[in-house]
Amino acid sequence: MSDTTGLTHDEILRTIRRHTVAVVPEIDSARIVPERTLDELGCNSIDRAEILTGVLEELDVDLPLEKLTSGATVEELARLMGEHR
Amino acid sequence: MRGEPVVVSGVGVLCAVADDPAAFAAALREGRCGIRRDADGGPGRADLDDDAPQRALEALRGSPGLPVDRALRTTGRSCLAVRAAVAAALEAWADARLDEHAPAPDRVGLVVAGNNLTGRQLAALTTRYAQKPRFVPPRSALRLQDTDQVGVLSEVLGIEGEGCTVGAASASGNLALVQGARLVASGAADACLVVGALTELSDVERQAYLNIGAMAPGPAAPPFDPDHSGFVAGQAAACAVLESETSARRRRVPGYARVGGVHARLAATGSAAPDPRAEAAAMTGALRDAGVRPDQVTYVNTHGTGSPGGDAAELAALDEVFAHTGRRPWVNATKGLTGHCLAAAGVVEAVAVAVQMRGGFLHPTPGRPPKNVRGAEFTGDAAVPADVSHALSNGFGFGGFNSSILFSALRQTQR
Repeated sequence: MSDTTGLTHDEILRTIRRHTVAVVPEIDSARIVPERTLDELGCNSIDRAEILTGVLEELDVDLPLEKLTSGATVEELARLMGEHR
Repeated sequence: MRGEPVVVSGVGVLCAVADDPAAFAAALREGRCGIRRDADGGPGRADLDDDAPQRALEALRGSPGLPVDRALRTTGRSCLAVRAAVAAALEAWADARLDEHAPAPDRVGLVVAGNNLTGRQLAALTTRYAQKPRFVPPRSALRLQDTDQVGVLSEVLGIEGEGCTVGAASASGNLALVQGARLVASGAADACLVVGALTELSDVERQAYLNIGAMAPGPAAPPFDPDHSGFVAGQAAACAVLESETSARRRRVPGYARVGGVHARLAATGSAAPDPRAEAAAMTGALRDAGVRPDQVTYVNTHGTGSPGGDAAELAALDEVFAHTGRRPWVNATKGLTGHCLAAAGVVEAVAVAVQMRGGFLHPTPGRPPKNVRGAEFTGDAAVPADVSHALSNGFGFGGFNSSILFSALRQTQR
């Protein structure tokens, strides 16, 4: 679901990837593929909250953290964020 | 001190004049001053270079048993205070050769000196998130606590013994050394890392120190100089490994000095006013704890901040403790070179005492310290060769914290 400011789905995915590696440097960015969940990549709940808060701030998305359930894949997270921009 | 004899078996330090203990010893010997003047005539500062922690950690790569990569990874996004603490702790860990053979993880304790260490981060977060609080990074709940330093250090070094922070304003370093020494002397730990935490003052805290008259408002003369007008804020992290003599000997680590005696006391006040009687009692108490007479003291590392009232009070206390002995101990003021490293000061100065005792010198005192003081002989422009038997290190803090620690030379058979 594209938005009017021109931020593409791919850009959101890139932002999630960048924040994930910044918060958990042990994660190889090549492993951060859309079909994975952050839990599967080795993030604990605090890592996850830290990553998603950072992405939401950078993209200025007003979306409560609890909507981004831990079962969501990176793809689903990006889609939800795109919908709420 | 009662209980197990305690020695300083390793040290680490990052400050405005040096990134490691060997460089610190060299800087002290030549009396190098890390204080930078403010271009606009405001307060000087002796800040730690932001790249210093990484530089210090990279320099430790030669020791294969040290968790340098873990340290860099864990603190990649940390504030300067945490990065500097980790670097100082790894230096001390290597210096004490704990990377080769350490006591069991739950026999190693960790005491971080300092309170209100996160003022600068809190101020920055408050400004940034005032209008968008929902984006406050969740980890701030951890990072804004002084105790984050304890957690991060324990994670990097695998420490599982007793740990905590010890807060006593500018006497935090000494009080943390007291706590660490007691942990080891009581047998609760075989070794204890005492880490002096770097203080990153917020603008409000800095201004408060100026407004209360403690920090020098402009270019400052050194401590004990007739023109002294307050302290210059310094940034440093330092670490001393306190270890039972039995453990250090078992590991064949030579050590720097024995922690012979400690004394800390309050002065029944919540004020910032120094109290010469309480300061003298702190020194006398440490001597009594060690069973050492005042005339046996070779050297006193003063608290000497450059505050006129504080310097005068300490001179009066030195007079009370030493004038009657007919012998004047050497004294100097490390803060004249490093700035006043606040929470870390006591540990920075314990490291200064340790490297001076091992190096057989006492560092110069910059400026024009008084010459004919009863109870104290200041070092001059050049380092003084000295075979130090017993050295006191003073630490005083706002709110009536008065403390002194006696370090004694190790007997030849122990070295």
